[in-house]
Amino acid sequence: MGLLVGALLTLSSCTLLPSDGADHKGRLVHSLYIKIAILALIVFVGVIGTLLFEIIAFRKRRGDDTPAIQDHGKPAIYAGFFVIGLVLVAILFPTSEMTLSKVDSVAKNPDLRVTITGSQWQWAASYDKQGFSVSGQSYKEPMQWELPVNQTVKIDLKATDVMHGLYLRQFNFSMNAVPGVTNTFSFTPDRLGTYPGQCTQLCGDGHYQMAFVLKVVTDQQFAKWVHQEQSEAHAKNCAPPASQINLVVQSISWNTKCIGVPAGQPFTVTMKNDDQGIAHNFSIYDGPDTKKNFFKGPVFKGPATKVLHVPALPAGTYYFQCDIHGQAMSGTIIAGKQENEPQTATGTKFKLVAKNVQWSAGKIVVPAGKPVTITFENEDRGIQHNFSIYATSSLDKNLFKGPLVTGPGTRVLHVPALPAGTYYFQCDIHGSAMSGTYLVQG
Amino acid sequence: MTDIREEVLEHRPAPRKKSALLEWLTTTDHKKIGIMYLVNSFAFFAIGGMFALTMRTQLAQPNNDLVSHAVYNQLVSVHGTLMIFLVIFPFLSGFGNYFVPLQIGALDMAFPRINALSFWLLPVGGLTIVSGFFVPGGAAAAGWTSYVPLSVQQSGAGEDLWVLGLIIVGVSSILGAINFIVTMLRMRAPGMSMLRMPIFCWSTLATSLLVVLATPVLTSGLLMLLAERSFGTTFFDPAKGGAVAYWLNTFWFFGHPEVYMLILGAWGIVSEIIPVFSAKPLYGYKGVVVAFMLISGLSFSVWAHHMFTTGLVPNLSFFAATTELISVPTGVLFFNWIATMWKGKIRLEPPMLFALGFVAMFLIGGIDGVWMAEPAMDFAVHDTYWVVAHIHYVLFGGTIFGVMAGMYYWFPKMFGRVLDRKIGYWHFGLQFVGFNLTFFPMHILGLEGMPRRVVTYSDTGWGTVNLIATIGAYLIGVSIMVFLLNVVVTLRRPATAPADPWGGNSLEWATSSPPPAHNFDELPPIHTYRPVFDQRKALAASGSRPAAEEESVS
Amino acid sequence: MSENSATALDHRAVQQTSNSVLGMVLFVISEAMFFMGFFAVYFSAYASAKIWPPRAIAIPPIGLPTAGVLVLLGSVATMALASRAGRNRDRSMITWTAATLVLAIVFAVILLGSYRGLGFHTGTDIYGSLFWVLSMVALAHVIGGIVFFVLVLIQARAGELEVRHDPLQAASIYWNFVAIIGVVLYATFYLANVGAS
Ligand code: HEA
Ligand code: HEA
Ligand code: CUA
Ligand SMILES: [Cu+2]
Repeated sequence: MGLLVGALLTLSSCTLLPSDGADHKGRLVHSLYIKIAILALIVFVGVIGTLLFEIIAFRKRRGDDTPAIQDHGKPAIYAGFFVIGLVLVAILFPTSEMTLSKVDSVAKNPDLRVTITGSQWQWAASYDKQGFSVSGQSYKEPMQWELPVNQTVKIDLKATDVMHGLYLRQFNFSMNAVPGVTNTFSFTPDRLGTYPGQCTQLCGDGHYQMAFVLKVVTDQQFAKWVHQEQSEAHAKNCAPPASQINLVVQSISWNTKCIGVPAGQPFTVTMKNDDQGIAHNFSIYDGPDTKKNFFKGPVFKGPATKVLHVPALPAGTYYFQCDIHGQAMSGTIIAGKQENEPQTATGTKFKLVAKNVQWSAGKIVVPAGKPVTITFENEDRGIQHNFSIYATSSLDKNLFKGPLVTGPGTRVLHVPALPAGTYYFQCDIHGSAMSGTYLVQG
Repeated sequence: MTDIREEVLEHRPAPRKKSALLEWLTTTDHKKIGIMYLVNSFAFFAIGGMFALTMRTQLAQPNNDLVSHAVYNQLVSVHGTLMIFLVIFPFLSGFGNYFVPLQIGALDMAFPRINALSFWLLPVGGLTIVSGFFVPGGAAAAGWTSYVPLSVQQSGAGEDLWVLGLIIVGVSSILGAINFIVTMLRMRAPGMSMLRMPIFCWSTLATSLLVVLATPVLTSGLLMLLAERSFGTTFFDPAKGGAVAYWLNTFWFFGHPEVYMLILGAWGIVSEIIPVFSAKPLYGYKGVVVAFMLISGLSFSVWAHHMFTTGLVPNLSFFAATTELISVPTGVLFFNWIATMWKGKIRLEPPMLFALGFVAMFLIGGIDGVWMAEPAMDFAVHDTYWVVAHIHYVLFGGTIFGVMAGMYYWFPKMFGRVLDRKIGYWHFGLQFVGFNLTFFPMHILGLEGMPRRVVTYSDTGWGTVNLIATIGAYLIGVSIMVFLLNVVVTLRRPATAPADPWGGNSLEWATSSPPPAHNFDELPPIHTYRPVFDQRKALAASGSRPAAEEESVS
Repeated sequence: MSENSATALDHRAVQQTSNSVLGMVLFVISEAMFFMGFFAVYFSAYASAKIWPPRAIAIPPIGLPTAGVLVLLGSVATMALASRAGRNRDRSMITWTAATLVLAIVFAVILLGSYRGLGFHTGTDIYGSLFWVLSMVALAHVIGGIVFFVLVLIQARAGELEVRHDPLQAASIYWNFVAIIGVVLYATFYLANVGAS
């Protein structure tokens, strides 16, 4: 029997190890694993070896009818058995404590802070100081997030609905996201690479797909990624294009992180510097590495106001900053028409499709005072959806609740007439992850 | 005794058959109840095992879609719940019911009617849990640990049925445990002092103490969960003064003693078998008793090792220390078994093979546990297949092997026939190979980062290992079939087993196989914890059968 | 090994109590652990709350529950008298048990009455949850006691308790436990609030 175990052991010895660690802490755990493995192997071989020896040496031989020695055991000896274990624990415990004290310590002055939130069934990482966040999409794509190499990052881990498990396999680390609690840990990835991870705590239907991909990149790549994400983030809440823009500088920061301007058209910027005695200016570049300059405003001390005339910019995303203060005082310019309008469904009779846990329309516009007929089609095999309307997104007043439909399936829904106003619709199973605006126009 | 009288009086076959069934349904005889426990366990083992095979088939290939994620989560949850609460624990209770009264020379359990009640509550509770599959929304799907808020969130009655079922099963085990304790404290034959009780009785006593102290705490947690789902309470809602931690702590405060409830009985069985088949007394009987008590006591102080990664444990090192310390008395058991075999006359009969299989497999499972007992290490493997490997090495490699050892050992006592030896060897071989093939590779999967409770995976690197595990699982299925075949074949043979087929030590071997309804016609004198051994020795010395009465009072 | 003395000791020790009394003691121990589960949650919630009882909770009036607890204590007294009478094989045991039964029913009614006009419900806060679930569980135990007393009375009427008094003893142990729980709940949910708000 030991043979089989032995065979299996040798067969798999190459893979019977945890990750060798993409950070210092992970490597500590790796070596802790090996230390325990050595002890374990000694105990295992000792016990199994003795057993096998006994089975062979002390087997009852044919025709041997003499009784065995009736040894009940001496208390001194079997009390000694406790000592063997205690000695092993005396080796094991300090060893693991040493590792634990390092692995479990949270950096006081991290280079970067990220808040990670688990919700059914996706991760979101929010880079609060950088002003953007990334997230995955349930059943569709894992969250992609990046960290700069050799920088200490502190993670605040939260959950919005149920418990989740953030598992960084290559770092030999995992921690639960628990509703009502913020868990923190820190680590310093020191190996470039792409590290997939997955939720380890059963969290419902989509648990098996609640994945993420962590990329550990160089500082430059990280800065680039941050800018890209920032501009995307800003694009989402950027003011609509205007040819007359008011900028205010206060305490070395702009009053906005994003400016919308019309493409191919000059515009004016009224820049008000409120910082007493501090000089600022306004410049436009292609990106944070400031390779290409499109506009350079004059440097002036506050308090003062200047009107700047900026030449036309082709449609695209740009980067603005104060040349004195650099990235710490920067933002995004979007030239062009915004294209983030959600798909809209209109009329009193239309089709609404749920597919890949997403609605075919993020916005529904219907006339006031008229009942509406919706053909609700669920194309998600084995997944349940419904269509419900609420007064607001905090679900305080339910105005319509459609039946649950398991995909694939179709239902015709008769939504009663509603007074003019802006409402909120969602699938009750997937909540805000699958929601939109229900606009009733008078 | 009623059944004997009935058999004599009524010779018409038809009505007798009917009354035999009724006899079983209404019996308060601890032996019949014990057998019903075992049958009940086997039935649920078949259900839980089928679920496991379905899961393994689903996991055999990456991106497989044999079952949906919703169904898979139900299968895992109910598989774990059934195996723990309706298979393993009742297996040990079944042996306890049959053999504790016999081993202490009692007529029956202290409360025969409560005993019948505790048994019948079991299938009721178990079927309540399983019935979840037939309600809209399906069975409980939040794992056997039923973590909140997921378990609160799940719609449909399945989760409620799970809670109700477990409350019923809990009441059953509490009543059963009280019964065991009273029986052992009060019903021992003259001469059977506490420290002459067979070691299996001690393990049942320790188990029962754990049940009395730990199971009610789970019941309180289950009641909170039920209220949370049905009456809108906010025990686990952080927005309203509650906390997720309340469930985790209540569950695991019960949960860790629970795992020792699941293993102590098997330790007891193995500690009976190894001495018998080594022809030696148990080495350090008192050491084993002390170890049992230490383990039971310590088991109340380690629960947070299941919560190392939750961030809710105020002092990781404390729980790491207690968890490591609990390995010390467990190790003592191993050393005592080894010392028992030293210079013995070892017979590798099927019971002994399974007992040795137990020692080897539980050793692996225990060592797996020691890795996870270090919080820093647990961070790396928590909720991966490493834990699944640990679970099965201790529960299957441990308890199921121990239960099988007990089956082969005690079958002749229960049914008057020794299980077929050859088929027994086949059974052992298949089960041993199948078991290791299934669960050893899970260590690799765990270290490679495969999370538990996932319906499928896309990492193709895990495919081969998973396939091996699946093949192993089917092999286990075959081995269990071989066992059932052995039972069927054996039961068809004439009941010729002698009172003591193995050369046993404890009192159950002093009565006929199977024992009469009143258990003993006469008891041998009890001067040590091995009365049957003493009697055999005296017999060999005198060369004649001593009159039991003459020696019984001393 | 001093085998004989060990045996004798064991027998002396267990002769005092009957199976059912020992069983009841164990049952009460497990019941105590059951309530421990709730109280552990109560004290954790208490320890982590800034204001206790939480603001959302309207503190319930203490009058009726005080009456209830007095009735409960009265029933403990009658139970003790019944128990003593039982030990002395005295027929007054039936009267005292019946008196305990009546007091238990009165207590149950008062408990139900004290729910009326409560300013919070199960979902108001964890305080409300604990209050409702614990008091409901306590009520269930009182009802259990009532059933228990009825059974004991039936046995007593049948004259069975002339020969063995362990059912009465078991009932007494159980009822004392229920009374302790009642008093503890009274202290945590009513007495502790005196002076608050
Ligand atoms: C029969 C059941 C059983 C038993 C006996 C054990 C025994 C042990 N278990 Fe296990 N455990 C479970 C059933 C069991 N476990 C289950 C079901 C889970 C998962 C729950 C879930 O999440 O679903 C679990 C999970 C679990 C965890 C949580 C893992 C996680 O979720 O991340 C941990 C962590 O510490 C742990 C540790 C231990 C230890 C240290 C022992 C020790 O008692 C083992 C002691 C034995 C030995 C060490 C071997 C013999 C000793 C020697 C030869 C002496 C020399 C050795 C030393 C002194 C080190 N177990
Ligand atoms: C005693 C406990 C026990 C036992 C015996 C088993 C037995 C088995 N278990 Fe189980 N398992 C658990 C306890 C147990 N398990 C627990 C607690 C969990 C965690 C649950 C959770 O996460 O919540 C788990 C989880 C678990 C998983 C992890 C799932 C996941 O996380 O996604 C897997 C995966 O392979 C698995 C597989 C198996 C297999 C293949 C067997 C096989 O060994 C089964 C073999 C048995 C059979 C094949 C039945 C054969 C019987 C017949 C053929 C007889 C039919 C005849 C009659 C009519 C009587 N189990
Ligand atoms: Cu989130 Cu599993
Ligand atoms: Cu544990």
